[in-house]
Amino acid sequence: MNWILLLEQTLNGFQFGILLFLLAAGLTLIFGIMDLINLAHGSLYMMGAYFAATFTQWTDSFLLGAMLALLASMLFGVILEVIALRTLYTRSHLDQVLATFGLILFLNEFVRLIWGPIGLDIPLPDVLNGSLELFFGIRYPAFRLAIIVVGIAVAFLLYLLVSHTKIGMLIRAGASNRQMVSALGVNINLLYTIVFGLGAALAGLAGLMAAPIMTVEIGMGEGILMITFVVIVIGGVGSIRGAFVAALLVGFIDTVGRSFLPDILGLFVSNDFADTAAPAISSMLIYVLMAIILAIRPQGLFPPKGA
Amino acid sequence: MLRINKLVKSFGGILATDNLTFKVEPGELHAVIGPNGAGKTTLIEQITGEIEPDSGSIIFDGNDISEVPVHLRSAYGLARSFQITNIFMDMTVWDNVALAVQAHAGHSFHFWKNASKEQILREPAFEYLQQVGLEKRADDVAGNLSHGEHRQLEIAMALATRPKMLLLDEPMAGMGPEESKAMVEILQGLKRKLTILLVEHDMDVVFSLADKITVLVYGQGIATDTPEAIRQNPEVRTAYLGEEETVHA
Amino acid sequence: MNWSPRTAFITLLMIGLGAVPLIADGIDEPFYTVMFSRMLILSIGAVSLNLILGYGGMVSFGHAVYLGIGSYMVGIGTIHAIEDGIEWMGNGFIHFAVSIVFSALVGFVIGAISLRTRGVYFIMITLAFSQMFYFVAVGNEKYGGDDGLSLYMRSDFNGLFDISNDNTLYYLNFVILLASLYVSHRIINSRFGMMIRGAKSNEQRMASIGFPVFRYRLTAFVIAGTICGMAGVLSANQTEFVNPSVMHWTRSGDLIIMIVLGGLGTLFGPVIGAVAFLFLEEFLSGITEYWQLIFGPMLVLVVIFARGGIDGMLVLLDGWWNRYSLKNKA
Repeated sequence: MNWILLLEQTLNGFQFGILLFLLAAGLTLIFGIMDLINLAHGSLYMMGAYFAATFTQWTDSFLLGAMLALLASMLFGVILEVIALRTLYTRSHLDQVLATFGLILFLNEFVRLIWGPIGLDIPLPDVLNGSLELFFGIRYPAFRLAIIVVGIAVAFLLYLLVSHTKIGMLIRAGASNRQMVSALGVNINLLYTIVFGLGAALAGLAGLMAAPIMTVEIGMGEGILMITFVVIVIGGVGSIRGAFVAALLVGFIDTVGRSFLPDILGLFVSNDFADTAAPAISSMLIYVLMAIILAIRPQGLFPPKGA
Repeated sequence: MLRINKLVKSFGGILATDNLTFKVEPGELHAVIGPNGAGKTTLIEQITGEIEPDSGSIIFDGNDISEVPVHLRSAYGLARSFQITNIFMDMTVWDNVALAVQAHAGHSFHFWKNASKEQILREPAFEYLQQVGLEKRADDVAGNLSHGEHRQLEIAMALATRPKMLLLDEPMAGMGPEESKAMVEILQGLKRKLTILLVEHDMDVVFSLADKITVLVYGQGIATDTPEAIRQNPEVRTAYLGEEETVHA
Repeated sequence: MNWSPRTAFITLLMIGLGAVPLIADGIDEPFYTVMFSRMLILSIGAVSLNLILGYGGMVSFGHAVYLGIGSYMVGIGTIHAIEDGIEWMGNGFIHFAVSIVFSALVGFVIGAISLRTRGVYFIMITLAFSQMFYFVAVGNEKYGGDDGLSLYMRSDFNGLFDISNDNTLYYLNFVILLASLYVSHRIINSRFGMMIRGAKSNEQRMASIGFPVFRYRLTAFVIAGTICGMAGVLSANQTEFVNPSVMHWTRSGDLIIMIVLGGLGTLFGPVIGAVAFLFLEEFLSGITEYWQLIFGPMLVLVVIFARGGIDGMLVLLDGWWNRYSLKNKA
């Protein structure tokens, strides 16, 4: 086994896990607090990427473009919440699934209308374009490192927000007991809008950071949304801590599994078979993980207290 | 018939059931009373299996049922009515009861025969409706019934599972005087036919119906005795009855 | 029979569906037979999903998996029949049998895991597992991977009937649709059906009167899967092409939309919905290339305002009709 490759893939898995966490954190709060299943969360990720592409072009600076895209994503989320999603909180999950599915169709088509059907590329500034030497001569792309650093910083800020502020207190209370929060006499509509805007901003951040390393294209948010669901199920609905642990776990297993499964399988079966079967099997890994965890802990690894 | 033995259940440090022990004899109508928060519903839910006790045991008809899952307790002969109305609102009254009959007419892996034409389900269901005086509303959708009628339907459904013992969780809650009177008559009719454990707020009802009363305060059973003895019990008077009277006033 | 606008509409719809190949041939537009054939196949899928979604309240977002299983059984079988000359692998009865067994198996596993959970968990887990099957198909290069398989022949039914003729295939679809409607009708009115509907309405009560809810739900889940697996067999034969997108999660979403559009938890709702859905798609994409720009918000509006779907409107119409005819009699 190639240890340098393993280290590199571990970092890649970590970086993917960070993106998953950014998506999962918002989504799990929206599930936990509003009891809303929002399939269009992946679309917010996509919007973040497209905003970043456009603003980078306008401002000629990725950093400036990213800032603007972050704001735009949050604003977009808030508008979406106020216009469409707010009416869905009290509705059945089936209604929510259908309406947000309708939103996905709309947003995908909307993007195709505005930005065209062809994927976009975002050029990176020179600072982030190179690679850094980590140790023992191992080099790793600077931008991917930046994703990891930003992600950890955001996770830390989220932790501070949730555990040390009044809004955070309400969010925690809401995730474990919705009725209680409304009984506290809080402006619940405002809290919902804030939580949704926060979730949208996090999804947009994930999207704009993913944009330079994956192509910006229509439907880019849907594949990652499914994996985010797996993360949330594993972590426990409503738990940010659970989302963090599960996101890193899933990111690692998925990435490392994909690059090493052919070799590992090759130890047991013929190489030919390993090469053909590995892609199919490696794409099953995280779902198998989910199934196992559900069998042991139906509420996920970190179910919110009181739920 | 039912023996509650040193039962303990706490929620995050608060003892909802505190070392509770009492006994219900076969054929008896046994009432459990106690002020709000005394742990009456928690007790019922432990008997039905929706809450698992921390320690102690529940012996029903000679079997320790403490760890038997909810749907199997019904097979032992235990049935309950719910404090909040808990019926199939979008089905007809008759269907509701027929479904309860079906639960004890063997397994339900019958995929082909039309269940609403199976006399083996419909006829007994109708008899239970008669027992609670709902036969005239048999074909109405359950959601359209009045509150009192929902309660009657609850009891018909509980009866349809042919229980040895009926657990009634505040059957009079939210009822007007007329409806209460009808319910008391129904309960009078059921008395002696099967064992009943009645949790109820309305003191007049409890003292007119019950053979034995257990008084619950803060999860503890402070007395179990006949209504007359309970009325005389000084501990009960201070801890409970005095308070209840002011509440009623 | 008591005629009302609703029964009249449904009867006409079913007769109309039965007459499509005749009409299409009559006006020399065989394209319509193919288009309506698709509607029939998706109707079967929707009818099967309606069993668990409409009557059982289980919001399964992975039902297209079984369409995929049925399709791939035909695809894989046919490939081996042609390339390796294994004749029985091209046999339609075998395709149906294998699809039913395999769908039941997959349904059992997915159901056994997901039905232990509720609410958003259930939706996410069924969705995730369907995505898993999708990726397995994408990653399986031996059977076409992402590009899929082109079928050079349709399933062979021992010469009993020949579905290489589009009209014959159409009537096979139609008969299977009628059969699945009849089976649904029997099931939902049986003891089993009462049990499933009861559990949708009030699960806590079902447990307290003594029903072991889980095993009945799992059985329903498996039945729905096997019926949809048959729709998959038909679908592969219809398009003569199999690729992973047949079980893409949006396909599962489409099936849910059809049911809700037509009328959730009604016998003919899924059929009405499937026909309406494909008509809408045809119609809107005729107006603009960006038809989902209209369809998406429409869906949101249907969810928010028109809760009974088309069948619900027909029921309303029946109400007016009854009052109108009463007035006329008086």
